[in-house]
Amino acid sequence: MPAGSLHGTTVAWSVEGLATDPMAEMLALVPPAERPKGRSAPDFILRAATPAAAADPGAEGWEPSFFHGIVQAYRGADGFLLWDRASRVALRPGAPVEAWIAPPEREIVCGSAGAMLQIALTLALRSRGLYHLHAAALRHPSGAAVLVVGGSGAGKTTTTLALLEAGADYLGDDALFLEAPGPGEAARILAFPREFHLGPATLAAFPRLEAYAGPPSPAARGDKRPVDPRRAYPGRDRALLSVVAGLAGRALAVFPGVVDAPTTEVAPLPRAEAFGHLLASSAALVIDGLPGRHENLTLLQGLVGAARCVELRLGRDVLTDPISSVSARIDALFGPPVPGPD
Amino acid sequence: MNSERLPVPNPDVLFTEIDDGSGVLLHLETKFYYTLNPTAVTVWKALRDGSAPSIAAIAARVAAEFRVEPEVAARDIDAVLADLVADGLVKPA
Repeated sequence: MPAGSLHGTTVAWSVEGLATDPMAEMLALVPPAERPKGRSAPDFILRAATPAAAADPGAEGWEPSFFHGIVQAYRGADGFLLWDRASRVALRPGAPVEAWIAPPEREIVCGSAGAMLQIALTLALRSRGLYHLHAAALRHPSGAAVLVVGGSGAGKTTTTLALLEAGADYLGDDALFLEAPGPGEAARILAFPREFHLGPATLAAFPRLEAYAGPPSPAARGDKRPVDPRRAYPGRDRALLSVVAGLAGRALAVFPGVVDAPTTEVAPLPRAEAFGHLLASSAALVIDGLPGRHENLTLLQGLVGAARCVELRLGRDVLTDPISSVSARIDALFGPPVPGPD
Repeated sequence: MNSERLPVPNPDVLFTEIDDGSGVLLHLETKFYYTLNPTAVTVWKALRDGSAPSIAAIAARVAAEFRVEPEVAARDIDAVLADLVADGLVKPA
């Protein structure tokens, strides 16, 4: 049985009757795990979907809960059901996640079954104390933890790549997990190891990465191209950022946004505004019926309380020199580099 | 705002207090969030705890905490309550 290890949490799965293994594709950068001892049942069971999976679950008594792109989620007495009009994924408390995956030619939107599995994984991991956050995280050369938070078009990827090109280490460019802090910690930020997915404009702004970009694929979402960060930034992957309580200034939460100005500037962001942005980047928090809402809020509260929160107003200088215009503003917030690991 | 019957927090709204005294409300039905300044946090806590019987009582608390005149505090609280009602964050008692 294949299995991956996410920060000590083993995710095992089985595949029956599928030509490919979408779980293996999703967890390609996650370290493999040994077959869990004493456990015979997988966490995910993947099977081939019959054409009946295309039928609207709403007609079967499921109530709409939330949606993400083409993926519609339903809630019933027995958990959640995800549906992309061709495949289905069922999440039931205390039971393995069951997925019925349609072949790619039956998908309405290419790659949507993979997106459903990723949603299912992030929802399932909440019961194991891992809370998904849509954000990038880096370790600045000064040793500080840097979180980059922003929705589509805010400049999150540009900010992240600029800091990476300037020498930061990375956890991920758009998906992380938070878990309960240990003694002396205010927050723990964990990587969700995945490829970066970069669009044509981003690759044009960071031409060095063109050599590492693979061809567009369904998993890479439309015209975006996958970049394996292990190749583009060898030796700079990090699994964990520990935000130590009481060390003001050693953690930075950056909220980028594009402005009509000649130069990029940094401005303080009120903590309540920062917390609101973090809420907006924690989509599962507002889904009724999911476990861990209070715990998730507490983790975000600890994070925003420990970090210096700033707005990064991306000006037109980003178009000509994204690396310097971003990294110089962020570097100015920190002291000299600190060698060695956290 | 009639001060005789203060509204109560909508049970579908989650409140989180930030360590600088500000706060955030998350409305689970609309999925919108709202930021609160420290004065509004004091108002929200008074409504949540039922610890103040009237706007005048909340105003006295705000006046003491933030060093403003009670009349000014009462006007501010009226405005905060009107916003909370308009956005469905509180409900009639």
